[in-house]
Amino acid sequence: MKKSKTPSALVSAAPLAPAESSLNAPLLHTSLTLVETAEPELLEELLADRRIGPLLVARLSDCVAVVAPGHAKEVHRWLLKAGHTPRIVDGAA
Amino acid sequence: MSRTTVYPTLDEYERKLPDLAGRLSGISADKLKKMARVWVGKEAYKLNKESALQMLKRSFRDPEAVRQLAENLTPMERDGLMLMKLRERPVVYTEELAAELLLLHPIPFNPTRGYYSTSGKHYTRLNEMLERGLLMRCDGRNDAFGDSFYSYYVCEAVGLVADFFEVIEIAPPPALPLKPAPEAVAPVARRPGELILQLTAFAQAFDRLGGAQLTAKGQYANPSLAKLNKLLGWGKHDDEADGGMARLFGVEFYLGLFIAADLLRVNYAAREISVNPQAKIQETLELPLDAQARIWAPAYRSLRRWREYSLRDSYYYSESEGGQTKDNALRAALLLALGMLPDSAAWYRIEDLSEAMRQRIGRHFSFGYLHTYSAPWKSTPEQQEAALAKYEADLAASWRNNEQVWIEHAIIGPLFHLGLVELAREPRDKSEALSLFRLTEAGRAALYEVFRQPIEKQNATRASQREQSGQACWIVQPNFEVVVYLDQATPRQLGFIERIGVRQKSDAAIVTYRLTRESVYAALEEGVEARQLLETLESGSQHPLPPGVARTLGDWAARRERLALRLDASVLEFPDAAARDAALASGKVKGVSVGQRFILIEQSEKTLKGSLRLGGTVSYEPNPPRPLDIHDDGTVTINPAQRDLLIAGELAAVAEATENPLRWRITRESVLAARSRGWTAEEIINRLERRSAKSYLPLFLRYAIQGWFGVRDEPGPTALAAAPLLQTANAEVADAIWQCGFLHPHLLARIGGRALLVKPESVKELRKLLDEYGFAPGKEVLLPAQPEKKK
Repeated sequence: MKKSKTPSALVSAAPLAPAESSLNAPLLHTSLTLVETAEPELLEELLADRRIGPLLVARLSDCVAVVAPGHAKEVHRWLLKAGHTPRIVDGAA
Repeated sequence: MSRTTVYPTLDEYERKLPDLAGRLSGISADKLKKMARVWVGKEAYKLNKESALQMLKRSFRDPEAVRQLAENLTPMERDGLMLMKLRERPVVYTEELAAELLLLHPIPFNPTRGYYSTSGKHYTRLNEMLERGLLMRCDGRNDAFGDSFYSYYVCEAVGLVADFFEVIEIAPPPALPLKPAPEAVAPVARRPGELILQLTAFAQAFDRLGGAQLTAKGQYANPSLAKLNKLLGWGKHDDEADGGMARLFGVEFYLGLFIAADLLRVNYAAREISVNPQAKIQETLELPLDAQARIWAPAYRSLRRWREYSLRDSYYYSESEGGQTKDNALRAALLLALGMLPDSAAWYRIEDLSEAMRQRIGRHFSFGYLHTYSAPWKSTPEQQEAALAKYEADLAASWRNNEQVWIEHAIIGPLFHLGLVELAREPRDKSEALSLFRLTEAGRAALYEVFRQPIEKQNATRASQREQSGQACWIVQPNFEVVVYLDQATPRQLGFIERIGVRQKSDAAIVTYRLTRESVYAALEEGVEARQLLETLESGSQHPLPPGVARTLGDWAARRERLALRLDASVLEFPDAAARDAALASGKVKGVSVGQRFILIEQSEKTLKGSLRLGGTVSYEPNPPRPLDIHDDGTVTINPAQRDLLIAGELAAVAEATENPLRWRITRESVLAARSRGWTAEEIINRLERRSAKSYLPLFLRYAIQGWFGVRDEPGPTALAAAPLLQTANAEVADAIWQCGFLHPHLLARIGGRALLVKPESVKELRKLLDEYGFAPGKEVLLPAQPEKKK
């Protein structure tokens, strides 16, 4: 897998750790595409990938990241190209 | 705008059937009385229009009236209803039923001095059923078929007015007067596995393509055919070179077959062919061959946009679009004739079958113009006899040259290809032509036994046969190749291996597949379970699976479990972990905790809103929120009221963060960093525009991004330089100077209407010349006059 030559901080750290919310009530986010991995290391690996990383725009947990809107097919294609075989899950948990 | 003709499916015609009773009011009183006579006998003539109409409507719904009527039907009417019952639906294609009725009940030929037939004459028997009110046209019209000399329009389908199926028995039709061939040599039969393989391969290729397009004229679009051909690896065939045989392997045949079998659906409005969501293609393809034959034979009968053989002298209607044609009529007659063979297991000559069909339908059915018999005026009986003999000879010759050739192509072509007949040569025939045929087991089931075995029993047999599990039919090699023996494989096994492997090469007996990570992944994604994959592969294998193959397949399946892409997910964001945990504990939210503050919810948005007070909902597809305010200098501000979960992450890829989390900056460095990660200028611009409140990027910033990227054409060269400028009061003065022969050498270029650029070394000389000629150039720049501000 090709890794980014630039520091990964720009890609992952700041933006992917959502700032503590100033919400008063829960906010519902719909129509999201999530990448879920079995181990945190695998998600790190994806974040460091120069094609897939920039398309993962929020990290919800060690193993779950959100794909940039409109880029689900692209992420799927890149995952396959990078040798992954992601399970496609439709909808809720 | 071009208009596409819509051809409703039989399902759609069937849905329109309830309107048929309503259409009676448009029929004349005389015709209504004639129809009423079928139901109530001679009493019908005493009825007026309204009472006849009411009586008919009542009778259509009355099972007792229907039962009584059935007892008084003519044999022709009974056969017509039986042919519809065999189709298990109350609507039928006009061409098919008309030809079948003509074959079963030929019109007696009684020449006097002359005999005319027209292209509409083969509807005679069908028209009799319409006239008696047993059938109605599905287009809402009430006139008979073939009446108009000037129009080739034929309503595609007719429907039953009442439910006769309960009272009509299926009975074998009378046998055709055919003699079996005493001997057949070198018989050839299509291997069942070959056909199933091609059907399965087509279904899977279509599935991968996702759909096919139609042209405005209703034909298959060439790009779709080319893509399907490429996926199937069938290539393009030369129709002329092989007499049309190769066309059978073309995708047009299979597309038509799958559409006619209701496995694919045509959306004329969108000019698109897609998988019928109600159809179970895989299940159909896994049925035993004789059960499948009962699907493919009727589908072949109703096939459109495909032809067995193009006859030079023929004419067709609807041929350029996709409606039913006379091909459908002759196919229906041919398939019925095969059900009328005296012995279902005997060999027959194709020519004899054709002649038997000609005797019954040839006088009224032709792809071309029908011959006419007429004796000269005041002719003697000898002259009449001669004219009649010539008519019969012309008719027979025309049939032999046209319809018989078509029948030969149909039997040797699609019927053989679909495994319904096998072929052989006659002994002592030096031409080596395949002139003999007999029904295969599948052919007998689909064409012969349908008249002799009740439908319920057929269905039961079909269901029980589906349970077949198959025997060992392949060898899995350590190099992941699977060698499949077609004569031992069941349709289900072929369907399975076609799903999990990539076909490498095939011949009539053996097909080789390769198991790859991609093909196994695709099968798992289509719903094949990992355990089922290994078990089915093992149960069909003649030897134990090589340990390396079994282990690797397990690894591939396990690898898929490590990573998931969840589409259309909903996530609930809480202010903190405590609030999230409290919501879960209260039972108001059903879902899975994710990270510190999120829940991946398992309930619908509506249910959630009913149980929990939400701070709002943000939807990201198809259009995400637009919280960004972007300025010329690259400053980006996030509108705090519209801030969403993803915006910071999206900006991070192309912009620099500042101390204020709501402010970002697009700079040369941020753009170059994005470029180093593989982004293009267009991708950056698109991402920003997709989230910009104004839906576009400031033009200056767009050029800046392209400039930083080093895009060659944008923003284009610019220059900041001091060059002597000669300005004039108006364009005419500028023209005069620019065109002046002795001034021109001192000038560089004309810019705009009233200005010229001067060569720096010529300033003095030019000033002197202009002075000399009275222009008196000043030294201050002439600024354009500012428009007065309105008070």
